[in-house]
Amino acid sequence: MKLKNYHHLQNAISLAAIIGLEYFISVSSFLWALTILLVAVVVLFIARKSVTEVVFDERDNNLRGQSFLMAAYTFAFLVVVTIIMLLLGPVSKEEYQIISVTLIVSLVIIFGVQRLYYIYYQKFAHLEKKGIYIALGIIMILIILVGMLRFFSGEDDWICQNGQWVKHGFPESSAPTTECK
Amino acid sequence: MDFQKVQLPPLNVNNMKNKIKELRVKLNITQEELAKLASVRRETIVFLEQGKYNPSLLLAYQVAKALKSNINDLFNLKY
Repeated sequence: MKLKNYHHLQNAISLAAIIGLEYFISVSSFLWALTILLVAVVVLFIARKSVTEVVFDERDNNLRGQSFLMAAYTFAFLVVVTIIMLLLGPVSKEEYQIISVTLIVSLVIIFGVQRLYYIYYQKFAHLEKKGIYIALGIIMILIILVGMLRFFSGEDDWICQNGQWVKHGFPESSAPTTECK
Repeated sequence: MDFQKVQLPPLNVNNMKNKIKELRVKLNITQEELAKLASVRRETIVFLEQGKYNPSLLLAYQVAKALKSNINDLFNLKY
């Protein structure tokens, strides 16, 4: 396959996969969504293997790095604009909280992961014992993830037991004033 | 040996001149063929010839080798 054709195929499949994924997730057909994702990955993998020309060289890799950074900065700008627009717009406080937290967390993940890779390539990639540092890094990330899950899981809340509100963990707010049934 | 410290100007890709096109034409090969020989994409050769891309040392050697030349003859830094 020619490189040009591969790029056309890549664009078409990516677009079709995004539309398919969005549709099937919106109608809660997760199995179909997963199937579409797998088929797209397999087709793209086979197509790439059939390309006889050089798919990427060092200039492309440099451009990819620059493009990713620009995409991340654009995303950060859009997040800020969206949050300000939502603040002024007619959305409820709960909706605003959910959307804002999702956007900010995704932003933190994007820049956090980029920073981690940067530190890795700058300080550890050339070391002989880099395996130890990779393992330590993975352990640290797992600890942070578990901590975040614990923080956002809502475990610290009031639970209704035998007609009474019982403290579970360390909830920030006081007991609900609504009736416990 | 007498060594004189000379402060060079800041790095600028525009100061990098090369003879890739000259040599390629001399050898009568196309950009596509040179790209294939050097294991890069044709666009990279186009940008290299136009002096718009600063190649890695590895790529510079690879292109020089593909053109049966050496890096010193092929690339030159001019201020």
